[in-house]
Amino acid sequence: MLAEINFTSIFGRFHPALVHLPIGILLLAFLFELLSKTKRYKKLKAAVRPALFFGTLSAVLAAFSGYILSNEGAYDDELLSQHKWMGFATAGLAFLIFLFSSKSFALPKKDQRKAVLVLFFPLVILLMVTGHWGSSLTRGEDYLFDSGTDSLDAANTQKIATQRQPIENVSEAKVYDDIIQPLLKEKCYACHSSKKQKGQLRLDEIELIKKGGKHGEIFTAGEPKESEIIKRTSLSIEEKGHMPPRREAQLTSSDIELIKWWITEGASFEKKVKELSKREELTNYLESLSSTQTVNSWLPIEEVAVADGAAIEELRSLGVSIGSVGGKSNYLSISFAGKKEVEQRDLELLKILSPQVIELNLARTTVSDDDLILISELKELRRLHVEHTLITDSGISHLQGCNNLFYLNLVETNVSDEALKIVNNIRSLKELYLFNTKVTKDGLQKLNSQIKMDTGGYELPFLATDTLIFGRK
Amino acid sequence: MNNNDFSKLQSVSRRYFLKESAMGLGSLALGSLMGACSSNELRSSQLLDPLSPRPPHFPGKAKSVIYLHMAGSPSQLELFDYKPELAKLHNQDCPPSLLEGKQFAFIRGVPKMLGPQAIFKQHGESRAWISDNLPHLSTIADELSFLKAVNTDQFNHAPAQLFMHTGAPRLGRPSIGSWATYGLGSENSNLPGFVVLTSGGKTPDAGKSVWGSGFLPSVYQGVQCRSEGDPVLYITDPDGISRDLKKKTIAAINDVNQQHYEEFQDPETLTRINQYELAYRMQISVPEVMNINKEPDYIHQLYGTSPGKTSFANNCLLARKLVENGVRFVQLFDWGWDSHGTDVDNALDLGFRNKCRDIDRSITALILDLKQRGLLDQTLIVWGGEFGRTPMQENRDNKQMPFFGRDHHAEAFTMWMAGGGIKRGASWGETDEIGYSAVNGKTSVHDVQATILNQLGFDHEKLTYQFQGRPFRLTDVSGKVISEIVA
Ligand code: HEC
Repeated sequence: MLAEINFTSIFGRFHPALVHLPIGILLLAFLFELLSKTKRYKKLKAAVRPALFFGTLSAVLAAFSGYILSNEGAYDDELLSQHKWMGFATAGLAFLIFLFSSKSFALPKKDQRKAVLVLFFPLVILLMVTGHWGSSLTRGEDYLFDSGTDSLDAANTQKIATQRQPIENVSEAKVYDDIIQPLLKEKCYACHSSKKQKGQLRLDEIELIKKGGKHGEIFTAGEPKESEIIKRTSLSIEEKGHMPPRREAQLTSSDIELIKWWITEGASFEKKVKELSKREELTNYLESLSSTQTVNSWLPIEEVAVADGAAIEELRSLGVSIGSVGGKSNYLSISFAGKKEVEQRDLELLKILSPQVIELNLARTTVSDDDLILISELKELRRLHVEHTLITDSGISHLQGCNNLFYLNLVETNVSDEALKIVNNIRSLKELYLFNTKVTKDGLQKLNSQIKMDTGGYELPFLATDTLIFGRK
Repeated sequence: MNNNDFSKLQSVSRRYFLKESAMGLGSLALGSLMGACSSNELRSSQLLDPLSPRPPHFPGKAKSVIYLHMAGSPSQLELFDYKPELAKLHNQDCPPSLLEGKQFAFIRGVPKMLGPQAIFKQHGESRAWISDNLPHLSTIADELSFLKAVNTDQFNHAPAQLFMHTGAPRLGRPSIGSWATYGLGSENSNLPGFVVLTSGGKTPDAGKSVWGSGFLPSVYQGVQCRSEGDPVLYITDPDGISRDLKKKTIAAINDVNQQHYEEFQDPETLTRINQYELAYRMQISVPEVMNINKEPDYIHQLYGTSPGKTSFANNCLLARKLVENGVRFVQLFDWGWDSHGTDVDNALDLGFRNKCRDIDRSITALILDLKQRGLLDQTLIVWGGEFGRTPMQENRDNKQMPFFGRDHHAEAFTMWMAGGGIKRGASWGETDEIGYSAVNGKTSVHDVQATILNQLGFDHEKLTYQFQGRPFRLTDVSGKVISEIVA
């Protein structure tokens, strides 16, 4: 089957290329006009009109192609209409100047030239502004002042901030308040809330959701297929009107399924999950909302001051790997993976960084029990690896005051049941790894702890099939 | 005509104009060509020490990745995608609707349907279907998250492998491990950031390009290590050259390079100096990590390893050791999964089962071992082939094959992930009742890649590299994080 080729829409696609022509040619015409005022370039006068002609022609083509492209949608309404009208104005003004510059124009020659020059100034401004709106449309509004060119530094701090909170008991949760509202907040508020009202729609208040947008109500209870919100979000991403717009964070198919379910079940803003009839496809999704596995939940919520740069540099030069945990966060993750010896100077430097260090990997190093005295001064520490070291119970006793410690890896150390008792008092501790230590089953049982402990020692049985070799019978 | 006028005229002569503009245009073109070769994307610190650790876009859940690639592509229909309906259609002619407009690597004419050549059971609390070909892995079904409807658009090995690992089916793009090390650097300055281990007797069809660095600086390419002989080729000092002499040699070379740098200020020279030093350090540290002789017996029993050989099991154990020591990306390729049914070795009921034996215990051991060492949550494990296999029996050249085999199938196949901030016991995507194509939850190769980068803390749309005048990324212009399996 031959795909239907729509030539007008293809012409629209040329808009981004075509727009450069009027900008260049008309500016050149302006330059010629200015230069021709000087003695030296007087001759350029003759070039102004042809340049104006081609400039105007290309401006008209650009405006026309832009018009076609605008009908394809997927752009921001307000910006688009501003850009559109300015584009038309530019083409119109260029045409006007072209007329004025005509020899057969019924004005005295001197006035005519003045008029041309005067009109040129607004034209140039229009060209600039139209161009700017155009680039804002395609690259986002903050394009001009957003320095985000360094791909690695382009931090995604926002992502962390808006991470959905896990729900404790999903079946007791309110469908709208606890599930749908956070979703809208994450994916739609940027354009449909008190900040902006794209399509005259606000989704940040129940009344306003009910009210709908420019084209009226956005949902009909019980009729997901008729609901604008479902239609919009289920459109394929290339299509005009798809929500959220192409370049934004998208809803997952399960997110859409969830909204559909909510609408099918009457779109109640009050009901709880258990009050709606169960839907098989969504069980997994709903369960995931309660996920206690949010591994990153150990990260501190508040930001911290920038760490001491000199200390960081010096640690680096000593062979320690050190860097931000991610994005623009000032919290540090430090690893001695490439440096086997832990020396006094390292510890001193670590102390300087104590407000920032939240992750420290000392596995397979020479770290000693006494070193842990200094380590315990890292009050923000969340994850500590000391596996495969000479640490014993007496070292662990120093960790008592680490009130933020979340993860502690003691695999292949000499710690025993004694250490268990100590770490059991660190209230923040959630994960403890004890494989190949002197910890006993008895000690573990006595503890009756909330901490997730893993003593490992996993084995796989030998199966008859393990050594069976299949071949031709 | 006085002199002044003459020079003025000369300055606007047609010839002079052409000459000048030719020079101008030429240097413009040259400039952009040079720009294409050496990009200034790297910041100075990265040039100085290209493997220095760098923060991801947001705190990632995984610190490292172990990617287990079964080169040749195992049959999802004998492992994870249970299709009882297909058993009923066994040996019947394939309906024309499945063949119309489709292209296959070897199937010609009308093939017969081939029922599952394995016994399936549900395992764990997640009730995941896993066949009796993987008895050990079945016991830890709840650790895995399945993608049951991955789709690719390549049905030949080399392009499909390139697509899987570089995001494009043609040569020249950096592999996912290179992207990861480019983005994160290395945690251990004495080891490479990206290590490749191969087993099964051959390297993947696509050759070393599947772990190449493409247009990224070559420090980011995968370093192929071996579990037999020298772990890295030419890592030992040549006979008669002591380590001392080597050190002196490198110091001398670096002195010369340093002078060169002071003279020309080319940052690439600094990179070079750094490379020499890194190589010198690796001579000690790489053989140490790559040595599995010192592992206790119970570990060898767990993995089924035998030191001194090249085997997938050895590679699994090495992968754990590498990750433990701060290597970012460990890529395992196991060759021999191309079950066409042309001979015993690639018969679904014979050779294929032997391959399953080879990986079953060691992959299970790897996951359990990482778990008991407290590293599973920060290590993402990815398992898959480059595509799947057809529900039809292969009939190469329209002839009956001597053994049960299946052709390459791009439409829908199974991959799984575990650890590294992936949900436990989840499953996403479903194929139709004979396992031919996706009915829901279809995911693409770029989606899988976006998800891997996401776990490491990267927004796959922002991890870019400026090359030939435009930013490139692993996922090209598509890809969506598969949030359904992300914890
Ligand atoms: C980047 C900005 C942006 C985001 C984010 C966004 N929208 Fe929109 N939305 C728009 C614009 C612009 C319009 C108007 C243009 C149009 O109708 O296509 C619109 C219109 C709509 C309309 C039609 C309103 C009417 O009556 O015309 C609905 C419904 C809608 N959005 C729903 C959503 C939902 C649901 C989300 C979140 C999942 C969302 N939008 C996220 C920009 C956005």
